[in-house]
Amino acid sequence: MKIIPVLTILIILLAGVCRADIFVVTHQDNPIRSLTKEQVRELYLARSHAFPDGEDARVFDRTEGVLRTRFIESVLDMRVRQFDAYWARLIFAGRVLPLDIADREDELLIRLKEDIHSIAYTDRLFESETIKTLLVVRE
Amino acid sequence: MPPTVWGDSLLVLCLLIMALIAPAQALAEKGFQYSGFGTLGLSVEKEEDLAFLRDSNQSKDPEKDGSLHPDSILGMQFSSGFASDWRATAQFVYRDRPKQSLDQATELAFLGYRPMPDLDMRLGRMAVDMFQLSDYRRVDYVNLWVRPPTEVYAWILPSSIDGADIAYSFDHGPYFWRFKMQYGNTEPILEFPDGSDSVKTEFNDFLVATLTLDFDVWRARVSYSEATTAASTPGFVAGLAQVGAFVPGPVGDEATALYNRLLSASNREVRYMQASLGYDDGDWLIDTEFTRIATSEALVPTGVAGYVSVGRRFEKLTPYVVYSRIDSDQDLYVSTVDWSATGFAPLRDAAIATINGVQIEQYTHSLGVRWDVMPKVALKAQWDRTHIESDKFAVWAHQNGAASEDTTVDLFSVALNFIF
Repeated sequence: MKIIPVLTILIILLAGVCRADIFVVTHQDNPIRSLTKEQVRELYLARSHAFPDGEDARVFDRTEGVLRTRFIESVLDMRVRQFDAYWARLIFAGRVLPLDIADREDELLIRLKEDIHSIAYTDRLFESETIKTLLVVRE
Repeated sequence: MPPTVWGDSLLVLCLLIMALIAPAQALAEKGFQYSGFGTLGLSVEKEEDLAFLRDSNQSKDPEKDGSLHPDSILGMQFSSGFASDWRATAQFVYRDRPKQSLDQATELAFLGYRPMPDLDMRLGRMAVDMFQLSDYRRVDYVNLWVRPPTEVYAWILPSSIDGADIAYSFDHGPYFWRFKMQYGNTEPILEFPDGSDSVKTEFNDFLVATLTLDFDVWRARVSYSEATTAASTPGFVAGLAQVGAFVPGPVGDEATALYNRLLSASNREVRYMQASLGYDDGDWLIDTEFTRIATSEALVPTGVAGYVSVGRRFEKLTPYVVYSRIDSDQDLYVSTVDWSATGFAPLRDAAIATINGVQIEQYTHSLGVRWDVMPKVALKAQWDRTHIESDKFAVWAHQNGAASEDTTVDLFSVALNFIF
């Protein structure tokens, strides 16, 4: 009967291992090689509008879903409704333009390829000559 | 607003929304973005000759006990970025107000220019950034409560300003600072307390300076604002001058004094000072704000106002409590002269009602809960118990004379907030 607790532990461990990382990505030609979690947070909270080299960043969010929730909670250290309310304040006060949204992975790829100063997040590790990873977040 | 007008307005509103959303979807494909916010809110109290107002510049009907008007609102915002550093934004808001017009409905309409990442300049119509919540005080989804505390926000007449502002942001380690200066003019419309008439007011040379600090889960803000106010002179003022000129003795003297007081209220400076501190760690939300309003002789509410709010998130539910109050620093004008024999007493009463009618002194205990029903939608319920000092009812619709005693009002509100 010891098999049940052992299986439970294995399931928990596998769940942890199988959960995909979150990758913060940009165009391969962007001179920035990496970002810290804090720098990503500054960009996604519109406290900074540029990469560390001074180039304006074009920031992409995702539509509501599990990936967006994980990103907001683990990278931005906020609840989703906190983040939504925070952005609503900025938008309706006229301080910033709304974030660009990419619905699907293929659309995200197209948008990232269009502008070398784009930044987005995904749970897929892209094997692509045009996309590079700036930050890997392991939950 | 009579129900028939409200019904007509709803029809116009629906047509407006359809007219706006249809082209908006087409525009979105060409780089335009549109967003919106709204509230469907019901507030109910049971006082005779007294009605709740969320903003003093709403339409006033003292006989109304329950209404969708004070809190219900719909806003649409259109924006577009171009030439990399420029953006244009327009925001149209439908809400209860004394007069509906496109000009009144246009809350934002500006061109923004960001010559460098930390510097932002805007020219056109912007929200007046006087207090902590001023520039998004009608976007109820972003706030914890059904509405911002009325003791601090209900009496603020200007909501938008025609002019320019400049903001500079910078960080120093974990501290994120933002300094902003704003300058312009605005002409809000104010209805008399009994809803019988309205008057256009002016806030000229409006200057606002703001410093905000974000640090971890803390947010602090201080600001200073000043403006020169003016309003069209009510018709009875000329009558007071006549009484002063032709009626001898104490009645004539008081008529002259009242006439001079009303005339001297124009082109006077008003100053607003504000400090606030907020805390939000994801579980606990604590907000406090203190304001001081001062003037030499302008007819505006003056004194000290503030609030303290504490909320606690439990998954989708956030119960909260709020205490807010405003204390007037003006004495009520009291006539000691008997005008009854002259037949001009209504002139004196109108003058005193105008002078005393701007005064506010009250405090409110609020208890409420916010339920985040689904992403970008919140349902709120709130109970406010407000104690109002006699003759200091400026943020309530009331009949003249009906506010002469201290009153305690229970207000029950439910509101559905959404953003898109």
